[in-house]
Amino acid sequence: MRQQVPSILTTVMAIIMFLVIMLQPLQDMGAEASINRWFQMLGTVALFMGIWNLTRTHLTIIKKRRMNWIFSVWLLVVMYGYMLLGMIQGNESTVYRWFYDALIVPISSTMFAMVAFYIVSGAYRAFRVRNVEAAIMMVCAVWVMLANVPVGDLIWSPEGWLGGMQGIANWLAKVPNSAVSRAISVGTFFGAMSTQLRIFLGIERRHLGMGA
Amino acid sequence: MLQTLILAAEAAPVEPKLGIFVNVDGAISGLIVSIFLTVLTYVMVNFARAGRPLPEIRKLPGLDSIEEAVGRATEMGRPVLLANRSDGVSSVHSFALWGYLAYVANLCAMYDTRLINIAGSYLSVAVNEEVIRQSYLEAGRPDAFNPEDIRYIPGDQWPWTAAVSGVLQREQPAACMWIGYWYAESMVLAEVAAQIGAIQIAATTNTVQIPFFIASCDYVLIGEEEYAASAYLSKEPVLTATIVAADIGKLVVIGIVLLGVIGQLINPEANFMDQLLRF
Repeated sequence: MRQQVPSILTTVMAIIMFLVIMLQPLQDMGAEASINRWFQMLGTVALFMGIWNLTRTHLTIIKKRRMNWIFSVWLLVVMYGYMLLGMIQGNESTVYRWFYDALIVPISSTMFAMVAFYIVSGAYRAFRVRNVEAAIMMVCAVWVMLANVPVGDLIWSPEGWLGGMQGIANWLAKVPNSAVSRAISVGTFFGAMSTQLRIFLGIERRHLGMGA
Repeated sequence: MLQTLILAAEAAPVEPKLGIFVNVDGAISGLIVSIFLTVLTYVMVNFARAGRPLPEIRKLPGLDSIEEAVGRATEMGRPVLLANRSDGVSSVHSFALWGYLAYVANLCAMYDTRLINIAGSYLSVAVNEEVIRQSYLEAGRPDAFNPEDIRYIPGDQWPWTAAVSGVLQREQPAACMWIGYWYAESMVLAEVAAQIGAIQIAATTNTVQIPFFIASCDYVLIGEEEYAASAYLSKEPVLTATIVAADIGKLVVIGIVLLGVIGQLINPEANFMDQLLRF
């Protein structure tokens, strides 16, 4: 029963979704919007599971006085405090928006800015020439980098033969790079389709908490 | 007058394809591909069930290395970390993830190694917990299952990245696995894990992030390799049959591409393959 009911529900929903997306009469009836509303409602219920998980994890850390437990107190205060603020004042209120716009946005931007430094350390490791593939990758990367800075135009002008450094950099991006990306995308489509069919045919059951 | 005609054209109902199917590019051709793949998969699965021999699928070093990574963590007495950020329960990436999670949790239970799972979706965290619990049960170690190690960190990109970087620094996992669809956070996570000396396995279909993972990780599963995990790791012929079907599908696509190239060379004006695929 525990195996069959979810499998049947999954297959039936997959068939319904497929028909809704493919058939014009069902689109005209607004079936897609109705199903999306179901998903929203189910998602809202499931949100409580996330809140419960966070609360349980951090209450345990606080109870057992684990390392940095004070941050867990802070997390719970912020989570429930911000939730209460939103419920009392609404999510368009100035105070509610201020916490998001003045704290979360700049902190997120700071984290994003740090990616540049991580790229440098990652590039250092990747560009150590250990084999032919690494050498080709390094040459292409240095070429594209130079083509995108003004000194690249000075070394080999875009008006010159083959469009200069930029011309070759553009060719690298548009021809070999695009060809490989598209090949990966085609493979990805078939992989995703194969996974979906495993679920559809009921032979993939890991998500139901049982061996496949 | 022109304005009226434009408004009338916009208001006019769109004629369905073949009288019933939605009038969008590729609706019918997409339907044919879906039916073809479904039938092919069904046939291959039945072949496998009947015990007939199937073509072998190629070795995937990234998947073969999972046991080595868990073994290394066991030797070092440090945990294994497996994370996914942006994929909810309706994402096909999550279904692929659960294959990895079940296998890694089973290994961790057998080797008595701690497994930390971090999810960025409140929907998938409950399923992750159930998958891990079941794997510990199957390994005969339900006592070793610790629900506190299945963590939900809300998946807003940079707060999530900062939080996971903190977990990496505090818990010092010896093996990290990044499974699913990743964005720019891939570089930060893989570099932080590299700095703590963790062996890393990444799997993603996002072609933009693949180079970042290749730069920082020990093994990277590219594109459809991410989806092959549950079938490849379970070694079950019925599941492997679905990969064989997908591989046959890829061969057919190569054939279509070649046909399109020949068609364009013969009559560049006709664009016959483009017209066919848009149908």
